[in-house]
Amino acid sequence: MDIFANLALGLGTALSPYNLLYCFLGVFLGTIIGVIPGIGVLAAISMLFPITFHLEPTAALIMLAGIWYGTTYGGSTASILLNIPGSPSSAVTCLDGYPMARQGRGGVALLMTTLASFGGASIGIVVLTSFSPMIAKYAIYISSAEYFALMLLGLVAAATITNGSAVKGLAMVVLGLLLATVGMDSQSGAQRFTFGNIELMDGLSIVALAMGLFGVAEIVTSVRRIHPGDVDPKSATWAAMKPTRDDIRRSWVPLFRGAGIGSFFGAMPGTGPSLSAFMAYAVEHRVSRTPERFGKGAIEGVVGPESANNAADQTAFIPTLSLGIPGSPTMALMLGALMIHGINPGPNLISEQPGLFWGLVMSFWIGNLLLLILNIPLIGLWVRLLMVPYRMMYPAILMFICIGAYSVRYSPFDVFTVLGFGMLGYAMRVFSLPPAPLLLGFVLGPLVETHFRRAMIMARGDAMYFLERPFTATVLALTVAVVVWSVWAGLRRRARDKSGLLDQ
Amino acid sequence: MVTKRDYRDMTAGALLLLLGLAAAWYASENYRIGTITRMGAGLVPLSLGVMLAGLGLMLMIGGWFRKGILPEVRVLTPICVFGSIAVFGLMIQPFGLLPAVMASTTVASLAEKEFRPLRILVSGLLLSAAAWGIFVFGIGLSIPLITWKL
Repeated sequence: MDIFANLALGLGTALSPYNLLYCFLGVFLGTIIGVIPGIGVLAAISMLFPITFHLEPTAALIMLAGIWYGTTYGGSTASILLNIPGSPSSAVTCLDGYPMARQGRGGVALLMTTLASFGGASIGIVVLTSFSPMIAKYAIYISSAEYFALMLLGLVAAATITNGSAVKGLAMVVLGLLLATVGMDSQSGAQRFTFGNIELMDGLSIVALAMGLFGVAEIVTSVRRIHPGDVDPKSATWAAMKPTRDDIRRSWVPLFRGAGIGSFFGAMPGTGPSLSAFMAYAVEHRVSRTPERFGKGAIEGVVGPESANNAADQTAFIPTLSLGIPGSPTMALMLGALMIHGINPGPNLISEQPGLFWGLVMSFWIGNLLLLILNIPLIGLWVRLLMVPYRMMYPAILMFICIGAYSVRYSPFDVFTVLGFGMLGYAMRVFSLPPAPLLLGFVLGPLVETHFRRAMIMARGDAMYFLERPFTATVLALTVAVVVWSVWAGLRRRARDKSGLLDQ
Repeated sequence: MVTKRDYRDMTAGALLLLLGLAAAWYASENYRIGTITRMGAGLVPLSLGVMLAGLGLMLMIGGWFRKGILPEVRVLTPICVFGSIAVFGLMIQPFGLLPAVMASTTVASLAEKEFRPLRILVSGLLLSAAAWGIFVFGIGLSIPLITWKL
């Protein structure tokens, strides 16, 4: 099919008033959530997840995606003005954004991050548009063994690359896979770990799991800790935002470099916007002719990472939509939303649901344009939002979580499931066990098990079957390499750190 | 507080070890294991349980040879936050939306370590109105505002 026909179809879908409304709602809520420290993107998406049950699948995905990239725009605001990252991927922006704000150049930093975000996202969308259909075309031919290997790589990478401890990450993936076995076994129909409870027959609810692990646990750790900041509302006026000619000259190359870095790491399993932003910062620092300016308000240190994390937000959809394999927990929730609407994610998605795929891609353009409009003239509003005390917000978040969980099937049992996962989530924070790999394991669990069992039937129980297939063998070798590398990196870090108190 | 061994990781490892062993034992007792070509329902949970136990053991051993910091455990905040969810779950069906939201807001607010009845009342009413507007009016859920089903 002609690419232009597809883009036109997508544009038509994305511009329908119904989808446009939810796109706006998504990016608007995303910005709010990104600005406020103490609610992460995963908590936000899981909170709004139940609402999407009542929408059409395309609108549901457009809205969830809008929240996802909207938070990245909003996250930089708190980083620059308060030195607190509004979202994890904006943590690097603090390094040079906050010094800029203290020098009275906060307005410039806010404007340039918004422009960099838009630039990075645009490049990410172009990469997404060019690669996804291509990958999907080849992916149709791959079988269960390859799928199993790819998912294994995704899980192992997510567990080891971005977390402190590889053992903890892997343990959480396994716990997630184990939790996913609760309910009816899809192959034999046997009930597993239901203990005679009818409400557990369909398995544990992904909504309850995500809300508990990310929403509730986050509130428990944030109450009485987050205080409204001393923000100078004057930093966000039109006059304060005008960049100098020097700012612009310094910014455009880091923007493209950041977008390249972000596009690459966004699409890889286990790495995402946060890591991309760190890499972009490191690269800018390394190539700069004046590295001593970094940490003291260098505009390159703000533009590079912000362009990178937004590009990564977009390219994260490549494996999710073309293979049906999510590289990050947020993408896992997107797949969860698709599955709830009865759409099977996988290489057939693009050809079977062209309206959904191209509509979503085109909605990214619209969403990013909306964010540009929302962020530049309305920045004063977001700055004021930073002054709302947390004590007024968390009861509202809790209420939203409770009603959302209850509304899925009018069952108080689901509310108590949220409670259980909230307790687990808080315990995991106390023990510094990462929750993201658990969610990823939980979502991929049924698929991993099905493909593994199918592959073993085809292999007649011979494990060599996996190694005889070149693609599968390559992916499995990569998986082993990831494990070895992360163990080695962990040991080296510990050797360097004499106090032995790393990972704390 | 710095401790000689990483007791946090050792405790976490021990808990994961126990959880993994329990899951593996339960799966092998109650579900068919089958063979590698024709797997029963129990094989995958059994192997996952064993893997979890193994990783827990590794975490325990690692913690033995490491210095650690004891984590801060909050007591009041979790009780209030978890309590507020429990109260909502208990009240939503017998009493309806308004009482459930009022009660859960009140319990949640106690985490602030101060009791301001008027502020709690106002925010509870506002939240109930917002909840009704979004969920009942907006997306058409059928949750009664007030009811009495005991």
